[in-house]
Amino acid sequence: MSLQKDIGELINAEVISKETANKIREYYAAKSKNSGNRLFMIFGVLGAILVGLGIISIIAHNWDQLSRTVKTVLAFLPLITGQLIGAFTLFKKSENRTWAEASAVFIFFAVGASMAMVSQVYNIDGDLSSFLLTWMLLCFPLMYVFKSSMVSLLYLCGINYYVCQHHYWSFNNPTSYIFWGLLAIELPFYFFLLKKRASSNFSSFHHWLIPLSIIIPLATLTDSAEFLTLIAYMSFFGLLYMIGCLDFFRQGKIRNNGYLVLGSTGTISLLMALSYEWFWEDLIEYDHIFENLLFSTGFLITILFTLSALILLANGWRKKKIKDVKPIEFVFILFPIIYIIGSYSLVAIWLVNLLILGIGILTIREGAKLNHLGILNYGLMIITILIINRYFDSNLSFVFRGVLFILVGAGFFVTNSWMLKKRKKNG
Amino acid sequence: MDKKVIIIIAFVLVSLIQLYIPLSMVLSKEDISESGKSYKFKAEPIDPTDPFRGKYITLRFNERSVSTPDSLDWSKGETIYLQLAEGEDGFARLVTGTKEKPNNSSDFLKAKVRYAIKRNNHGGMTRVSIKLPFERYYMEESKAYDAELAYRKVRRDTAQTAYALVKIKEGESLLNDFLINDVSIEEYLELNQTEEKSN
Repeated sequence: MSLQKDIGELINAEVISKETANKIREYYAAKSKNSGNRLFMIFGVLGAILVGLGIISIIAHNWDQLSRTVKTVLAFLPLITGQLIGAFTLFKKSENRTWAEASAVFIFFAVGASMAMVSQVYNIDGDLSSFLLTWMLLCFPLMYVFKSSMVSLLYLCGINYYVCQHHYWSFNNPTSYIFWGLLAIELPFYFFLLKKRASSNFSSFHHWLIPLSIIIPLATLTDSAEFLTLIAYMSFFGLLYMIGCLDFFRQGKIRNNGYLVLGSTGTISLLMALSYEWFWEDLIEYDHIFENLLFSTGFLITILFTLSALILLANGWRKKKIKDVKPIEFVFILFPIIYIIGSYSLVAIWLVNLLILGIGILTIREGAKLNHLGILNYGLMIITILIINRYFDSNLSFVFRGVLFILVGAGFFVTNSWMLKKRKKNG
Repeated sequence: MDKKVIIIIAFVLVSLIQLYIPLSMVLSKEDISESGKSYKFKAEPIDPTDPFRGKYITLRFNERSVSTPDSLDWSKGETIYLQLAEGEDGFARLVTGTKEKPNNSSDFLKAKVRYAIKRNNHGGMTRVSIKLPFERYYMEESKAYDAELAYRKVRRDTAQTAYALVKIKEGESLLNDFLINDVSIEEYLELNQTEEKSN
């Protein structure tokens, strides 16, 4: 810390008193101890993950030389060891986060290892998804008992793996509503993190994994109403973006704001995917079955997402001026209208492309206004990707496409160097 | 009550459940192994991998569907109780399927329905495709692929047979062994390797 080096000089110059100097020294001493603890915890957790995964891999080899009895005993050895370490942690080290995290993570993997070993020994059938489901159900209490953020993250990964395995990677499995129950029992822990450990890195990872845990399985809910899938996604991206704009998340760094980034990139990616002609041509030919649509799960969650996003949007608008409103905030309202128009007419292709272009230009403007290179280049990226998409599917002449690319490329140079110059001048 | 006491009680309960689930699997399978009745199911293996449980061979059984009366409607994943019998060749046969557990017979097996096809021209019988509960046979990592190759060789020769030895008790099953020509597949692979070396 440069401030610590300068303390002597500051006292001599009578800028600060000796008392203040001592307080500053104490503050930095406590801070460095804290960061030491954090490092120790990261290594503790990493160690437990690696050892746990190692045990599972060794078990997966399936040793022929060992008898059934030996294998069965070995199946329980890591689990019992883990539980003993866990008990020691709760009795003797209950205040120590490193011990709590590491022992909880170790038990998490030991449960998986023990189930795997028993399955092998007795050739127990059952696909990967039911294995994952039992494993996760047996382990979710660990996050509450040990207040372990890492187990919570592993659990979120596990239930997403489960839903992918059960729904997307298996043929013809029925919709699994169990997933939503699995997610619901994790949420109280997430709220605990938001309340008690808001600034920790673990919380930041949760801000990414929680929205992802809805994005990934969302399509399983709209099975009965495919027509709604894209609208449901767009309104959910809108909702994510609006949550990301709340003061609570806005105060931190952008990389910790999974809601904002996923909401924004999700909206843009979906629009990009729909900027192709073939999608809308297919949509017009598709026979829409509107019967029972009103009572389908897909419809209800679409309404729920849209209403929640609207409430947050209205709430946000009360606090800011009209000119500060961003175009991406409207997409989830405009999209269903475009989608319905698109079911009857190809005008929708133009509307989507214009929407992306508008968002791109206004994002660049915002970046320039806020003097933020990241936002500025994000806007330029949007326009570049739009042009690349159109390069492949439109009948524009090569000369015209070439000129477009040169213009956008030049745009990158000019805007970036203009902004850097502006910064130098101001700085 | 003190918060710490509650946490410790919760931990003990969780630990017991974590131990109980795998242990109950072990105990129920040991029980079948001790006192179940043995059946031979004719099969052919293929070799996939599970990320946590390692290499196994999937067994495809010759007997994998039954006829049931048209009056029964089956949905995917539903539990079906299969009536078992032993054929003249000594291999197990699936006779028919019911929705309720048979009371008067011990020769039955609990399984799941894959799908059912109603066939009007077959005397009002529905063909039900079955997922048997013992389709995975776990093998040592290095041997699973060899097992599949060995089996392919056997299949070309109709004089040789491959089958699964399954113990069954009160509908629950345990896949005890997979055999080629009455020799356990692990042994069969070892014998084959020594033969190849001596050649």
